[in-house]
Amino acid sequence: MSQNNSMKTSLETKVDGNQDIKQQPKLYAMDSLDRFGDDLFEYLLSYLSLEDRFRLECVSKQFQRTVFKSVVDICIDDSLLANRLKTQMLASIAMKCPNIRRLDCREMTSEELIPEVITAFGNHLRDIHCELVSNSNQWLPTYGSLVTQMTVWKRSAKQSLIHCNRLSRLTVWQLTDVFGNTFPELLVNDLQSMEFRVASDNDSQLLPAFVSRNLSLKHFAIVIDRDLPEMCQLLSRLTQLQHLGLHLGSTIPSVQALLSEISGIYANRSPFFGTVETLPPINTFNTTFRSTKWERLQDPVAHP
Amino acid sequence: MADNADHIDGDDNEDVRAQQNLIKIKLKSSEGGIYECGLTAAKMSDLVKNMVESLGTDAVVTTEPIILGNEAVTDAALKKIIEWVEFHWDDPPVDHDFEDEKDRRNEELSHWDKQFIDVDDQALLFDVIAAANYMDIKGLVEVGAKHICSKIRGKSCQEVREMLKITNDFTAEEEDAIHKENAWIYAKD
Repeated sequence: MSQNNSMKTSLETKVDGNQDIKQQPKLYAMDSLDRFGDDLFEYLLSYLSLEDRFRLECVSKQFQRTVFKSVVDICIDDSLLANRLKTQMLASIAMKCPNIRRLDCREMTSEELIPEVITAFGNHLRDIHCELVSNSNQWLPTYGSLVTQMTVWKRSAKQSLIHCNRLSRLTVWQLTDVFGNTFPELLVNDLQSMEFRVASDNDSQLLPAFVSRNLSLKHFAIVIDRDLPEMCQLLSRLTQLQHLGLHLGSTIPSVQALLSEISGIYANRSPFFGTVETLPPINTFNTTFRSTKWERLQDPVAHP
Repeated sequence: MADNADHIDGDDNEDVRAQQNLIKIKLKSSEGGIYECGLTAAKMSDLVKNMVESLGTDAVVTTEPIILGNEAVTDAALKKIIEWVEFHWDDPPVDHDFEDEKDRRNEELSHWDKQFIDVDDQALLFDVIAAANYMDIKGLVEVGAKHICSKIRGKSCQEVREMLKITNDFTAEEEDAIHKENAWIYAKD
């Protein structure tokens, strides 16, 4: 038992009593969590899981007051939704956690539940991270402006991307997925991060159109399936770029030449060559090879 | 050449920080104890940083102790805090651009931090947290918060009350009502 007793570390403002800012007369033991004021108390509980927060709500009134306030991000996945009382659960989370701003439903495989989940939190949300699925055209017209991160797997629904005017991070299968049915209608612009996984025949035509409307890119991971120096030159227009990922396809005739081309672009960005001095250097550069051609290289991963 | 220029610039900053940390300043606890601490390390406390900067020159700082008047800054707590900042002062800065805040939040504590914060004397642990909060050392308050959360993860309400010496101020009826509201936690398929 501690003999040291003390006042709370900060004043407590009561919600119901009209701004009762008198210091609590009660003394608290120094080894009791009760000694902390609400602000610090709330922060100390902010690393709990969602389930722990609800389970521990009735530890004390101070717990109840503070334990839900720090929930800002919520990730709804299949395991959470596998609940007999899921409607009650969603309502209860939305009611008790008034500060939820970001909803991540990328881990939900039951896409028919997405509208219900988004509607439950809709009023508070600022950001939604989700996948483009076959029923997206039902909810994206309403909530599209909240979507900031997205992965496109159902390409048939790609036209819904035009509703996502705040989108900043996007992953698609092919570059064609960000173009409307009538080229050159581009469905996204001013992205910060973009990845695509598979090259297509039209890339040499699509990439310049995409890059010119997305000069803000900081992270770019792409596939190059043929030797396209002009494609590499395009990258030099991305002055904000910090992370570059290149996936080199099997038909690249000379990986060595391609890499030296790319090194050339970034060498040109250094002040020594007299170009723009304010360009930040690339932080990371990854390459992967699908062919066996890497054996021809002395140093398969070049660092420009 | 150009690359070199960049590097020198970067090393320079680190050099300055390292050199500044050779300057020892004095911190005074609320119990009156005076302890030495490297300047760069001490500046991890925003409170100390502001005080040092408002004093102007480093010369003043090295003679007069900085008084930390909050009662949580006991001798023992201040010694722990100095140990922490002296270990962490040269940590690389957080890259907010590309480290997702959420990933950072989910990051486990380092082995060193875990050992550091695993203090048997709970009054001392809470003094360190309250003092770090008063001195505005965000990294250390985060270590304390992660430690407390990892200790109560998966525990029952009663276990948490006993461990953290929390008084239950709910009536039995109030507790029952909360259990009913949260019945869904136990309704997993």
